[in-house]
Amino acid sequence: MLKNDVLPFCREICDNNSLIEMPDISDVMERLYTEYELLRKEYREQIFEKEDDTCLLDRHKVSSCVCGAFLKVGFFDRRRIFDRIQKEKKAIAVYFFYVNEIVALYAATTFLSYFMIEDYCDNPDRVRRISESFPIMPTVTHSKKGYWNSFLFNLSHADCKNYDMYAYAMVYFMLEQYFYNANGWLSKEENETFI
Amino acid sequence: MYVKKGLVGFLNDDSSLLEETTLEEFETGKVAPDNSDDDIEDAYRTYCRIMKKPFEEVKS
Repeated sequence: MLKNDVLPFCREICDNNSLIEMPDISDVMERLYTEYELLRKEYREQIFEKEDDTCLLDRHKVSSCVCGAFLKVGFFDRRRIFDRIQKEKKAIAVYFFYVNEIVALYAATTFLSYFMIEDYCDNPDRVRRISESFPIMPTVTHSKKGYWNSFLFNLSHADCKNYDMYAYAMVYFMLEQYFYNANGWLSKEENETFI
Repeated sequence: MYVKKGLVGFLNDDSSLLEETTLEEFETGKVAPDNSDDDIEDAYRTYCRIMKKPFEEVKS
């Protein structure tokens, strides 16, 4: 997943801003996997009161663990980026301040999309739609900022100790449902997702 | 060959992510409209009126 999907996304971020550098990938990959396994183990133990191969988490909880692992590790060196931004003293696009959070969101939703695509593997049109447009951003009112901006803001304040795997699992569940609803894929038979 | 929603897709969804800001502005900026105690009380008062429930002060 990291090499095929997340790395190209991170390279795109770097290509758009010379202040942001790609990290040592092998080191990041190792730390990400370690954190992901720790989170998954922790929640398996919490939920099942034991930890073995029979204790399985659903797709949204696993997506939430992926998100948490990316937040905890931090794909990019945020301190270094902020130092460089401060030194340059120039205004930059807001999303560069949320580089690690946007990577975490992307990784988690990409992971979730594997399951969604599997559900519709016999329907190329729906597979294409999932690939090209999941997740769809929920609309917001009373704010000039969009949902992703607020989502990334919240993630940026959910540091490792405050990250709530259960709450974000429900967010990922809602993003999946929102996508199906927005596309009119509402039939109960073909729209069963499990919490 | 399927195309994947990438960075551009997220930025097209939410153009506020492209607004330029300095580090200082970012660290002191607010994200969503805030609600004062009066705003909260107004919302609750309206709710009570619409739902025909007796209004009680939020603080009580």
